[in-house]
Amino acid sequence: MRIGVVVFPGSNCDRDALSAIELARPGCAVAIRAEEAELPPVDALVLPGGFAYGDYLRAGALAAVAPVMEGVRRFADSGRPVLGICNGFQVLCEAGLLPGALAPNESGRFVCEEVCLFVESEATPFTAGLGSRRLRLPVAHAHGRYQADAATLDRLERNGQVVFRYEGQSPNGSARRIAGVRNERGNVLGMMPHPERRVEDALGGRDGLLLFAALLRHLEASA
Amino acid sequence: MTARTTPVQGRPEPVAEGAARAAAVGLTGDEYARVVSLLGRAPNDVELGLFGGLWSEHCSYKSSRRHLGALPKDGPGVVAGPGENAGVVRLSPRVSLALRIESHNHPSAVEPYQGAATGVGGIIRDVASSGARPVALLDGLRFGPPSHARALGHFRGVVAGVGGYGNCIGVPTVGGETEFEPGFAENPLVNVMCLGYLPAGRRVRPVLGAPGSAVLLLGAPTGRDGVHGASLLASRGLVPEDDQRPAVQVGDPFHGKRLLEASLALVEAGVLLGLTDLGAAGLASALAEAAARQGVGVDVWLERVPLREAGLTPYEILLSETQERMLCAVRLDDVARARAVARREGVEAAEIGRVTETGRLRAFFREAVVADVPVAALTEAAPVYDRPARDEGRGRAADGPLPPAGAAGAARAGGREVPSDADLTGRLRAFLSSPWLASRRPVYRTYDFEVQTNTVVPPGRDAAVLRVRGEADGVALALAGESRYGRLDPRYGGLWAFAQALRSLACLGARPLAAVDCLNFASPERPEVMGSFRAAVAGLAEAARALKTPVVGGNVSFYNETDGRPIPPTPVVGAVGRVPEVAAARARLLPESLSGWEVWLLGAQAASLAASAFQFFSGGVPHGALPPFDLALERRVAILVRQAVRQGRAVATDVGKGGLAPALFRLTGAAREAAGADCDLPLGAAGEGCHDALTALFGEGPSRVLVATDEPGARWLARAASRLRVPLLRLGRLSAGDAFRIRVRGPHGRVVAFVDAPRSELARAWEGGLEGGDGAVA
Repeated sequence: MRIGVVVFPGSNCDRDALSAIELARPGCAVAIRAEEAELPPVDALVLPGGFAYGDYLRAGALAAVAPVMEGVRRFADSGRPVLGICNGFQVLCEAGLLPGALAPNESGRFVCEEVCLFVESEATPFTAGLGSRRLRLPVAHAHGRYQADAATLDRLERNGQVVFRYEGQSPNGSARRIAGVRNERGNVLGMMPHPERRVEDALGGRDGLLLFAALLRHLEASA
Repeated sequence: MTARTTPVQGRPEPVAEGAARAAAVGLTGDEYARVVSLLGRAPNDVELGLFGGLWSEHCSYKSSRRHLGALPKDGPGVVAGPGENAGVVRLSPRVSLALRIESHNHPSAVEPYQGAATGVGGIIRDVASSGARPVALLDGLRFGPPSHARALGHFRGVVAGVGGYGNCIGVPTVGGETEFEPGFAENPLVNVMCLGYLPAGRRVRPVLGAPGSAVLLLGAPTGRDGVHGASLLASRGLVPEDDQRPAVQVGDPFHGKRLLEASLALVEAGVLLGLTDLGAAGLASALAEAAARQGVGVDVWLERVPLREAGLTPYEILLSETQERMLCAVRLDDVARARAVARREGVEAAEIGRVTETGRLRAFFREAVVADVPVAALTEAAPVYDRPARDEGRGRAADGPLPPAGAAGAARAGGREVPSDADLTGRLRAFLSSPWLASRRPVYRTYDFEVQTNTVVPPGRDAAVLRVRGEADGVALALAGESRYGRLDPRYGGLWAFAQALRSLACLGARPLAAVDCLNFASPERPEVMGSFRAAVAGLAEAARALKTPVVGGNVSFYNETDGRPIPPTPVVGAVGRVPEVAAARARLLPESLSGWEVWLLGAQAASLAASAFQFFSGGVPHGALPPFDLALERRVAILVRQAVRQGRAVATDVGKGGLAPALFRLTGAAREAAGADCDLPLGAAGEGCHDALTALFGEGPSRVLVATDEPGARWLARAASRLRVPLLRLGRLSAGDAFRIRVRGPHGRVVAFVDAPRSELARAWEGGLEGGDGAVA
């Protein structure tokens, strides 16, 4: 079983994602460089946080046209699991693999703090079995305000595509306090909070590990 | 600045012309004469520019050098000390720590965002060039009061710049200080410290290797930015109407990130003979200083330096301070491999020179020799000054004479009158919400303090704690600056900064390993400033020896003044320590609840309002007698606190700024669940100097730590304190309720004053202090 982490120039949570995956299942994390047009054989993909290509133009905009993204698109289209975290979520939106966009935070400032999330959809490989959970995960971003037109938001709600919602006030002013969304098929998930930062008690908790464990269960079941 | 292509042979010239040329690069007439005598001829413009950069205060330490020897730099585990890319100290047989601190004061005064951002970028590169992966940043920031429009602009720009660079490059900002004080409104202080981890056996030095080696320039193409940053911007007082923005560099954290990865990849590939950052005075100082360390020469071909725009002169290419560049040396047959390794990370490596046996720095531009000077003339032969120093003496403010005894300030803040109780509670609330004490969360929540997933104890406590992957022991980091007491007694300021940084480590259970210092002062050409500098360094050195902690690196920033108005003397100390068994530390250091725990004051009980935050807050001019500083007691207190915290017997906070009442408030918030407090402060028994309620509640003094402990812990503390001869005093309890109560008791236990407020109400005032009103970060 192999889970690939796409490393864009400017990614800075790639090592954290690789370590989190290694903690969940030793020996299965693989780094994939963004210059590679062909993906190596992997069973799931993670697009990590950071500032890919400096986030010049718009957050995620340049990364969305990186050579590796053709492979990511084919991978997603084949129905296999793709998780975008923070900058990775921005990249997936820019690439059109997820609906909506991530605008600058309402405060105009970067925000780093722990938040509480409701898991609102179990219909993804990363949240299966977590339906009743409340997760404590940190956010760290300047562009995390989820935006889409009203019709799209209504459709997302109706289809159960809102996967995570902030409890209480959102840290960034997201529409309907949305913290994470999935595509219609459910195999592609984007989220602003960082599950890879909460995988050890020594660092403040293990709620993030639940997502990686769910993914491994999914991959085992479908193997 | 145009570069005349004067032939290297030069020509005789009138003295007046020499002095005028020297002034243009920040040198004096005498220094110019020294250059002429070293070269045996007049320098051409390019050469003079090299001397202007290398002999600047910023690069040469010409005014400070002879005083810095007082700082102890050796200790167990020290691998590299001052003068290297970074100080390096051993953490375990497998891992070493690299640390360094720098100031970026003047660039931040002129262009706050870029000044701070490039300060962060520079310190990260310094640590990376020692072969370490940068893992944490701390910043020591000092601004004028936020009610001052210019100071507010500095504050917002600098905080945004620190976050803008650090967040993007992916190095967490885990701690530091953000202070607002009179004296910094025009000249803010931006000190940045970086910590890195490296394999214990690794040693990367800022050298060039043997003659014949190739010199490569890595990173961003060179532009015109920052020419004269070191010689003029950093080495003169600020002139408000003088637009110095062109002398400020511009940072690009994305480029910085790629350069960081490329540098570390080159280190890991094992091809480097030496590596150094390009900082102040750019290529000129990187080449000269690296060559000087091994007594070699270097030839550099300036037309090979990649340029951002056409038409840069040799002068500009040598002295540009364009960011995101590094210099490395490799063997000739490794050039292709090194370039390939860098290119894989998206970084170009240009072969721009060759190491020679000549001992000279020779610069060529399209075949012509444009500079040819002995490396030693630029470096070792730089002037060293024994500047006149005058001790202002204890009790004199650095920025003005003292008011007569009994002046208004004394009545307001230092007098013995006991205000009404409503007054005291209200004053505590106002003090907590003032820029002096208000929660810094609105600042640190704009910094990514968790990226790299090593942060065990995040910002908000006395020190941050990080883990080191694969190691049982972790690292605590703290930064402490002192700019209030130094106005009365600069030596005391030095003692305080050093001791407080170490006390902060102790509060998280860490044993100190090493420290770095950043010395921020006004013009060394003023005898009273030089006197305060000498005294502050003496204080740091005394404390470092007494507390047995080596100073493995430092930085001196002079000329922090505007139109002749100096900043107060401000030594800043960064320290790192070892936290054993760090995996278990979080539960111990950040407990769920402290309610029911006892509150004890450990250590010295003497306190004074002299130059205290409360005295400033109350509008007083700093005055009065500072409490005694007993370094031997300081050391014993730190040992006691460290042991108590490490064994999980106590949660601790330094009493420090603001005194006991604010420290008790902080302690009630140290667990995940806030606690109330019910404490008594006996006057007199609370120590020498604590004769009135205000001094008891808000007086400051060294060697004081407030701890919460359970009953078995209290018995342990009493035994350990008596063994270590540390005074201790039980003040009361933390409670499950919301009441925050302190009774000040006079003779016969009579209550002479009290504070009584809902803790939640104080917390709201404290949390919102920087968010509402004039001081808002937003």
